[in-house]
Amino acid sequence: MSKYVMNKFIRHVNMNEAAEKEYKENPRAYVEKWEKNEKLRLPPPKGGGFLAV
Amino acid sequence: MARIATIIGITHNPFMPRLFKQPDRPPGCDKILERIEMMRQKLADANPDVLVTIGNDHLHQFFMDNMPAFMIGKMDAYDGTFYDEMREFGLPQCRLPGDIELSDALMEGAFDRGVDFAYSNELTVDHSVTVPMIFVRPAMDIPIVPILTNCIAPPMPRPKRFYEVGKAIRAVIDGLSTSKRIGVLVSGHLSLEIGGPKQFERRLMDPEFDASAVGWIQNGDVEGALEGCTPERMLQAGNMTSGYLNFLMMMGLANAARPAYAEGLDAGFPAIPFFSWDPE
Repeated sequence: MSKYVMNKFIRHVNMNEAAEKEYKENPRAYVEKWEKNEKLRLPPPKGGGFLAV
Repeated sequence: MARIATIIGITHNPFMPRLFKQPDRPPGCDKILERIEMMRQKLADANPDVLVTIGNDHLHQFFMDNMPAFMIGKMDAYDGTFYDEMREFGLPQCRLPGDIELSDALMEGAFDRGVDFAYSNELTVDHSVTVPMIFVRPAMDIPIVPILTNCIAPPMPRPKRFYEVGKAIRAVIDGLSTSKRIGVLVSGHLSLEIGGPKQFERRLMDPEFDASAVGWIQNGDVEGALEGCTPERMLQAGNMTSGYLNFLMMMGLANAARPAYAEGLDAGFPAIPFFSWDPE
């Protein structure tokens, strides 16, 4: 299920210009904001960081 | 009685419209553009009143939270192209007129023939519809009925089902009382890799599969196609080769008749499909 949620998040950022901009500016903050409206949770980031795009 | 005015099968490669505009485009582009122009002329000659467009959404409109196997759009107009397609491919936004009456007729008739389509009153079409239209009808002035398949997000319907659904659509069209001339525009793949290690390699991904796949259509060999399109064989040919399943639906729509034209063009890219059944 974690792979599904990751794909869902990537799709969301990829298809939304405003989300893409906001994520690039602060990945951690954007993930936390996104998760507030999601029932499912992303897996914890490995090494404590988020992928920079 | 409704008439099938033409059936055309073509690529929906979203990189190509921009590639064709480059002054230093690869030499193989000229061969591709020749074929596209040929298909554009075939469609113009067929002069359809409406186009049934068959393609596959690329996780734009649909995602794995709610993924239809086969779906019909029911709108009087469709917006085309998503933000990421404009960003990545330089595709233009567009608006395509729709034919709700035919959407309803196809869906109702399909129910009677054992095919339960999903439907959408809020459908935006992606490059599987817009790119073929850019290629063969850039004016986008023919109303469409978009049919989308799931041929990219497993678990997927079986190859046999794609053929059967195509046959059912054809049977519905043949039984319609409308005098409309109905064209069919199908997009799909031959062997192809997207996002995998072989992406962007400018060569045929699997020439053996491509030759077989074109041959099945050329010869109306449904059994050969169904036997040859196992998930394992398609994956071996490239991770997006399953886009060929749309062409199995096309075979069903053609009642497995031999096409007037069938080619997997080798132009220095993965094989580019071109198929047509011309008006009688």
